[in-house]
Amino acid sequence: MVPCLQKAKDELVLTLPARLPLLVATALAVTPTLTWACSAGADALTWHGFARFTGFAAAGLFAVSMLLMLRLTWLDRAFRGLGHVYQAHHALGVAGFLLLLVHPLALALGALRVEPAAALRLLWPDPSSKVVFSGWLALLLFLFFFVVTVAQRMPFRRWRRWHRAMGLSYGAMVWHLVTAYRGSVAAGLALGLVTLGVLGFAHRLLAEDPPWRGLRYRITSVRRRGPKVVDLVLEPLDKALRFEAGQFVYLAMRDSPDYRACGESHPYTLTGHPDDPRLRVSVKALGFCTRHVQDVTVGTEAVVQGPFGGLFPPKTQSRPQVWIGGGIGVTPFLGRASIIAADEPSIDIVYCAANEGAALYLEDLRAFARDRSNMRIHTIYEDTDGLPTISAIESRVGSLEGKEFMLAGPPAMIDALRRALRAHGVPASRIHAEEGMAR
Amino acid sequence: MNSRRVVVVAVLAFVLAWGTLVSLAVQRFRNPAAPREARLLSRAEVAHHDRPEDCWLVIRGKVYDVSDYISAHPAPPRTITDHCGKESTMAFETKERGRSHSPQAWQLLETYLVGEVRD
Repeated sequence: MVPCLQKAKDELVLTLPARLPLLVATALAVTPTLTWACSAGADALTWHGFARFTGFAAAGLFAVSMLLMLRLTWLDRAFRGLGHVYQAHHALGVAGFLLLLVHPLALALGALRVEPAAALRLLWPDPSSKVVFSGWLALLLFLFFFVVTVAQRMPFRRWRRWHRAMGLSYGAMVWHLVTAYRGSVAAGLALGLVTLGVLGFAHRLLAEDPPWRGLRYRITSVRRRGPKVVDLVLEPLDKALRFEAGQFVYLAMRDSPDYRACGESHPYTLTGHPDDPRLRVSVKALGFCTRHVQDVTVGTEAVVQGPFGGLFPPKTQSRPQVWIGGGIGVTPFLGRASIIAADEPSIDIVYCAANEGAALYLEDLRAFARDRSNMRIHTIYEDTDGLPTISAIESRVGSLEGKEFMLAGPPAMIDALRRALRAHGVPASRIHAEEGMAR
Repeated sequence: MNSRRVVVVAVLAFVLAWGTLVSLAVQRFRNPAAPREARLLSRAEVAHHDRPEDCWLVIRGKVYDVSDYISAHPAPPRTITDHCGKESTMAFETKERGRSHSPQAWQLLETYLVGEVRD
């Protein structure tokens, strides 16, 4: 758990223990409720006290969850991937929701012991009491949005709209905290934290989500790779982005005379060499916007945010590696393969695809391997070889002992491979996956 | 259990618990406990009940045993326990920035009546 400094590419990189940022975020979230618990004395052990504890905890968890939806490069680095930031956002949000549900029930239970009428007033959004009404409004809105956006599956575009609307419930929660404020330190801390959450939400809406915020680029090449995949090359119009091989960016197209953009930014892996000021991305038609991008034309301007992610931690560079990619997921390997020197430890690339025709980037990887004796390309075609099981991988790359594993591809494939590798005895610290591009 | 299931189970449990509490509260509201029989007490007698676990208050000439209520009081226990065994009318009438307790609180207080002060 001790932070360490590692020498990588002539620069010092601070490596924090993987769970530390999550612990820090959780500690920040529970600060108001712990402050209250420390000052509450015997009151903390009553139903009423328990209700206040859950209320402060829920507010803190929601506030930090709001901050963890920010698309910031330093958060991405601290959490080792934007995906981990979003996972923490989700986990803290769900924890806050569970505690929020307990809050009115515990309050009512405490009141029920002494006065049933008071309990009834707490169990209903009584409009004559601002505190009770605002609390119930927040709870019912959270209940609705959690059921709609977390408890069921829906297309990404619709999900994003609904999830964003959850800001309304957060606003009602802020109103509840303001009306219930009685000057205590804990309540002050909770209000401060939720205010930060409001600012974070505003930053995300106004400074990150709009498709005109970021570095400006122009598309100089559009090459169709397959029926649903297009390769784009973009040149900077002002400052060029600095990135590492295998990272990804959020990219939003802008309208041009012969192209109407979908108005959203989406994550795409950078497939080019880090020293090249131009950006190369491959876009597969997986949803509404990516289908739209298939028709983009040369000359269209785009806006880039990032870079994010890092499938290849510096500490892994001294050990032999196995890269396993599926479908369009192999794109992080293209950029990384371009910077690998022939004297580095061995690299086995396992390309998983339905068949050879679907392995669109196989020739590109083979071209890199031709100049590098330490790089070998293997294929697993589902049509003829079946799924990429451990035995299938082992039969191609040899023993898995002492190797680092980089997984890239559809989330289901990554999950299955991660489980299989762990079951095979590969330590979790040796398994790396690009999870930042999941929603 | 993934978060999808956690949310569904939590929402169902919440609805169930909410329904149970509402029906319990309605039941108790319709069938309140019989009020205690009032009796005459001296201030010296009241002064013996000066501990949090045995806390009597004198408010507007009436004596209330609030020992069971202390843990349910919204404010910290000290706001009540400092007055155990004592005349507490002023404290009850000026609880916050000079404001008195709500009518509901006065109503609730009556359920703790144990007697009247014999002066």
